[in-house]
Amino acid sequence: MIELVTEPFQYAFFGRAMLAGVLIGAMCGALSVFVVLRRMSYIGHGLAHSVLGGVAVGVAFGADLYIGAIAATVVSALLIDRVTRRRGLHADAAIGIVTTAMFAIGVAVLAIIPTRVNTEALLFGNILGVNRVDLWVAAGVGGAFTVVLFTLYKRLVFTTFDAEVAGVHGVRTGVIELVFSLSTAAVVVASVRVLGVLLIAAAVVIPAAIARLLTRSFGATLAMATAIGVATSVIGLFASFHLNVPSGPTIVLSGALLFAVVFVVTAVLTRRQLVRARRPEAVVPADDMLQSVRNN
Amino acid sequence: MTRHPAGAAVELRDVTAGYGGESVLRGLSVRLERGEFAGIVGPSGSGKTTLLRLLTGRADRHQGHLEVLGSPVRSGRAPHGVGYVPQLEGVDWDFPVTVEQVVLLGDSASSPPVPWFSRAEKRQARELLDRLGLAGMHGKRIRELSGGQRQRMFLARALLRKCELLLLDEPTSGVDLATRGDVLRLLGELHHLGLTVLLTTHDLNFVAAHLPRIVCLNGVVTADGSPREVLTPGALERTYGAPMRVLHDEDRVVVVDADPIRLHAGPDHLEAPVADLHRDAPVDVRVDASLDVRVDGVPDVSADGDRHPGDPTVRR
Repeated sequence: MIELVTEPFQYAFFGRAMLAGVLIGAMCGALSVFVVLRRMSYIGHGLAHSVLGGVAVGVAFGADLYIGAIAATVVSALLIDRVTRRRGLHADAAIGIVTTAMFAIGVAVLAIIPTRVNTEALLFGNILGVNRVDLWVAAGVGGAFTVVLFTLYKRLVFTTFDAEVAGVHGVRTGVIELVFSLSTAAVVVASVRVLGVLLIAAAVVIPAAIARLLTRSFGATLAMATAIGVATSVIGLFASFHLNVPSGPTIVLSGALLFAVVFVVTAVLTRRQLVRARRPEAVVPADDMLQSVRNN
Repeated sequence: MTRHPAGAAVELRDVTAGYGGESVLRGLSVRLERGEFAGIVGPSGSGKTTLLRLLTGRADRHQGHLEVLGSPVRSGRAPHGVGYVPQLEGVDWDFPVTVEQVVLLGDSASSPPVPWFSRAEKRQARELLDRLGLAGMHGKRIRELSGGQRQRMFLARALLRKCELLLLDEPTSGVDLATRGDVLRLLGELHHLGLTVLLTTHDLNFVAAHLPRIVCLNGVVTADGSPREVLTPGALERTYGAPMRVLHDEDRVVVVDADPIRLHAGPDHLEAPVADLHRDAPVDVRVDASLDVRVDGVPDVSADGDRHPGDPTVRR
C-alpha cells in the first residue's frame, strides 16, 4: 500500500510535478473563493481558453510557451475589464467574446502553421512535461499572489462583498478589480502545464464550492478552499501516475468526487437536524387545525 | 441639542448628471445645510439612487457645480466624511461573513495592509454594535439577522468611518412597521448627535409624518420644502404623473390615492367567470382537509361561453 505513495517519487519528474501541483492547488483553491463569491466561475474557463491562442501564436513565432500564454491572458483580462467597465456589458458576455476569440486564433494558427506544440498536453495537462521553468513560474506566481492576498485582503473582501459601498468607503475598487484580474490571469498561466487549458475552470471553482458547504466565516472558507486545492492536486497527481491518465482530469475528478461526498453528507446532516428540531413540537392533525380555524 | 457646524453639507447648483453620456438628473439645484434631516421621494427611475451615487462620486456629473461637506466631488473619488447605507435587496446574504467583519470592512481603506483587524479596531466595532442595539451579535452570520438588525449593522459600518453626512438608500424598504420605527428612532438619535441625514424612500407618508424636509424628484426637482409645503396635489402630480389626494390632520399630512380601486372580497360581487380571464391556462385551486393546496390544470370550463354552476366570477 505504502508503495503506491513512494513509488512515483523514484522518478524525478513526479517530484517536480508534485511540488508544482501543491503550489497550483493552493493558488487555485484560494482564488476560487473570490471567483465563486463574485459569481465569475466562467472567468477561469475563459482565460484558460485564451492561453491556447497565446501559446499557439507565441510558439509559431519561436517564443517560449509562457511568453505567449502570459501575453494572451493579460491582454484578455485587460480587455474584459475595459469592455465591462466602459460599455456596460455584463462580465459573462465580455468573457465569452474576448476569450473565445483568442481560443479561435489559437486553433487557426495551429492549423495553419506547423509547430511542435503537444496539443493534448496543453488541453488536458501532463505531469511528464513539468520542468524547472514550470516550477519557477509556479513559485513566482504563488509568491506574488500571496503578497497580493496578504496586503489587499480586506479591500479584496470588501470589494467582493459590495463594490459600490467599498468605493464610498475609500477603497479604490478599480485598482482592486484590475489586480484581481491580473492575479487570476497569472494563476491560470501557472496552472496550464499541470491542469491543462480545458480543466482549469473546475480547479478555480470546486475548492470554494466545497468549503462553502463546511465553513461560516470568510477566513475559514479561504483556508479550507486552499487546503482542498492542495489535497485534490496531490490525490489527482497520484491517480494520474498510477492510472496513466493526464493530470488535469484526475485532479478535477478528485475535486468533483469530494464535492459530491460533502454535498450528500451535509445534505443528510442538515435534514437530520431539521427533523430533530421539529420533533419536540406535537404535530397538530389537519382535522384539528381545520376545526380550530372554523371555531375562530 | 448638538450644535452643527455652519455651511452646506450638500450643494448642487444646476447639476446635470447620469451614467456615461446619458443624463438621469437635469438642472438640479439643492442645498442641504449641515445638521439637516431630509428625504428624497419620487417614482421608480426618477433618479433618487443616482443622486446618492452622484454625491458619493459613483455617477458622472455632466455640468453644474457639486460640493459635499465643502469639497468638490470628482467622479470615481468618494468624498471624505460620507457614510452610505445601501438597499438591503442588493446584498448577498449568503456571503460568508459575520456581523463584526462587515462592520470592520468599513474601515478597510485606512486599516493597515494585513489580513487581520487589530484589537482596538475590533473593540471599536463592538462598541458601535452595542450602541446600535446589536450587543452580543458580532459573531452571527449576516443571514441570521432580521431586517432591522441588518440596517443597524450597515449603519454601524457607515459610522465606523466617522462620517458627518449619512446617506441611506431606501432604509424603509422591505422592513415591517415596527422595524421602520426602530430605524427612524435610531436615525433621529444620530441626527441629534450631529449627523446630517439624507435618505431616499418610496414611502410618502413616512416622510410626511417624520421628516422636516422633503425633496420631490423626477429627473428634476419638482418640489422642495416642509411636508406641508411640498405634499400638495399639484406637486405630487408633477412628481408621480398621477393624481393624489392630500388629507390634513391637525399636525399631519397624509397622501392617499385620488381614485382608489375598490376590490371586493366575496363571490356575491362577482359577475364574469374567472375562467374568462384565463382562457389560455385555466386552473383549479383546491384546499383539501390536509391543508395542502393543489393547483390542477382543468379543461377549459368556459370554452363554450356558458356559465356553469359553481364558476367563480369577477366584477368587470
